[in-house]
Amino acid sequence: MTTSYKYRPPKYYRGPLHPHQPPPPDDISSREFIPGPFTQPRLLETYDSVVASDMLALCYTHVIPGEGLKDRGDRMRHWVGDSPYYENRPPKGPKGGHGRLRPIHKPISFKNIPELRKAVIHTHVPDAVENRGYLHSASMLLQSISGHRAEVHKAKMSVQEWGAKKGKHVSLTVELEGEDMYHFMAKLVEIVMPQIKDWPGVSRGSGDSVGNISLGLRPEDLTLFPEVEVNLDMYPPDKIPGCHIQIQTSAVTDKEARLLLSTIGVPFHDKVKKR
Amino acid sequence: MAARRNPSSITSFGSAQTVHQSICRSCSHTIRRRYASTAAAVAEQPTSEAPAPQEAHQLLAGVILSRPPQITRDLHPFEKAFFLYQKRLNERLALPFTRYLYYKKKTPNLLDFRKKLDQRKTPARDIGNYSAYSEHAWHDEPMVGAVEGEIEDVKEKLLTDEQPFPEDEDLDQVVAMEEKVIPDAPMPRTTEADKAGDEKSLNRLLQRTLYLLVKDGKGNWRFPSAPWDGVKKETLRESAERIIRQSAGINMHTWIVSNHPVGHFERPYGQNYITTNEAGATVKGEVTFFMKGRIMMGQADIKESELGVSDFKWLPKESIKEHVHPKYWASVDDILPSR
Repeated sequence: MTTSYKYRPPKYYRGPLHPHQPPPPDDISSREFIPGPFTQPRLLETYDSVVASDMLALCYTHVIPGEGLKDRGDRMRHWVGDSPYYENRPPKGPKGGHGRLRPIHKPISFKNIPELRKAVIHTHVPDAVENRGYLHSASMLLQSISGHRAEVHKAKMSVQEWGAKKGKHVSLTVELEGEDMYHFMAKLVEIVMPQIKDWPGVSRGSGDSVGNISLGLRPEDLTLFPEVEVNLDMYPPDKIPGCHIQIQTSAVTDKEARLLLSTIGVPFHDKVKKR
Repeated sequence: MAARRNPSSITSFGSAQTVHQSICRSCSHTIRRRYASTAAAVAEQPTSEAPAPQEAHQLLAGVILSRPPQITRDLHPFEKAFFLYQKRLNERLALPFTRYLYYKKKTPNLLDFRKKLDQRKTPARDIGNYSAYSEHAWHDEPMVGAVEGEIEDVKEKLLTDEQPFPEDEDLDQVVAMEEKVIPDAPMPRTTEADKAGDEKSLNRLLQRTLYLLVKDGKGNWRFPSAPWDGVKKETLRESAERIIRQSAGINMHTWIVSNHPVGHFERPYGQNYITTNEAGATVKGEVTFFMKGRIMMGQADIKESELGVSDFKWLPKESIKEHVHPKYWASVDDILPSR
């Protein structure tokens, strides 16, 4: 039994008016405190000292002195007419594009050089419906390559042909940001990708048109991660999953996102034209 | 320098446009196309103003050829202490090490791991002897002058960890551990060229960007540069590639990063050197447009230099300042990344 006073933050948040308030999450005494960063990632240093300035030179767009940028006007469609209901009615979005407003592409300057934001690793384990072991094995694999506990997701609906049952745990995701993302990307680009056999590179058609590039890895590619390679015999060979990796960047076009990734070292290949 | 007087490389800015005197030819062309209709209306009105005297510059292309940093920078002592402290905090808060995912039960490797774990008290191998669950867990800051967290210490700890435990006398275990591949020690962060102070070597100052600086015929240090070839109408990128070839030889694999220049340096001529070119414009100075280049392989070779280069050096940013003219430095200072 300790006699000295030891501050313990409250276990539950009881509202803003409660006298016993928990400390902010970045306070060490907080229960939500997460330590870090632990290192200066090498890829981040490369980005700061080499990639960022090269991207700035590569993405330069010339603006005529005194002319400025072309004003594209208001993208929203306002309600024009005599109806009193048009007063203060929120404007409609632009035509096409499923009603979504696409991000405005501004010329690249020192303020908005594209950078890596997030890497999302996702794996779908259909066999987990019958045998939970597949899910545990996949979870441990994702945890060892990413350093984070994978989040489990349930199937939203039942599909007879795929063997999917509603409510069953079937997929795993890990979201990586900051230091962990840079370490993961460095491993992926410098260790795993060069060892993948008969792989032409990431498809140039990949991307969601707003600067996020996705790629897929097969089970045999995942075993190339050094954390999996050291104890490969601990994973049952048939239970190693493949995965999808979505790389989110701050670029607003796929072209600039691809440029960023290729400066980092991701190989891209052109689409093979079908005859 | 006879080449500087070459009239083919002298051009005037905005020679055809009286409205946009200060902008380049491609810009004025764009404006002319964009406002074709309004320009036609304007053109009908007779202009009574006399054409302004034309001014021109001698155009030069320059190459800022650089070798990017090869290794990470040395950490500041505060950063080292901070990272070590955060790692030790993490030992206290993270999930326990999943030992049986990495070591099978009843194997020599697990026995070896256990013995080493007993010694250093924690699964992490780079935070020194620190026990996160003992009654001394609060004692997580290193003492003054402690070597924990220093790169040399971490390197040694990691290498020692790869070796079998010294007290192991069990023959089976030693045999099993011998099959393990022991990694080599990492290369040193400083090289022979660093010790010798060899400024021509590319294998030095691995943490810094090195820039190629050449000594021209007059004995001035500057980035490789030469007049733009107006006869061939070459692009700045082609000029840059030609200048690298002509001044520092063909023994380098280089990459010109962009088609655009990253900066410029303007040098006005003295009163006695101002001339008039064949178009009737006054050539009042020279402008060097710098292109950005990276060296991938090879080394500069000035033996057969066509541009009269007599010496070269690979220098970090602050050393360039000591070699070049202050006005030259003022125009390139902001182009060069500081690391």
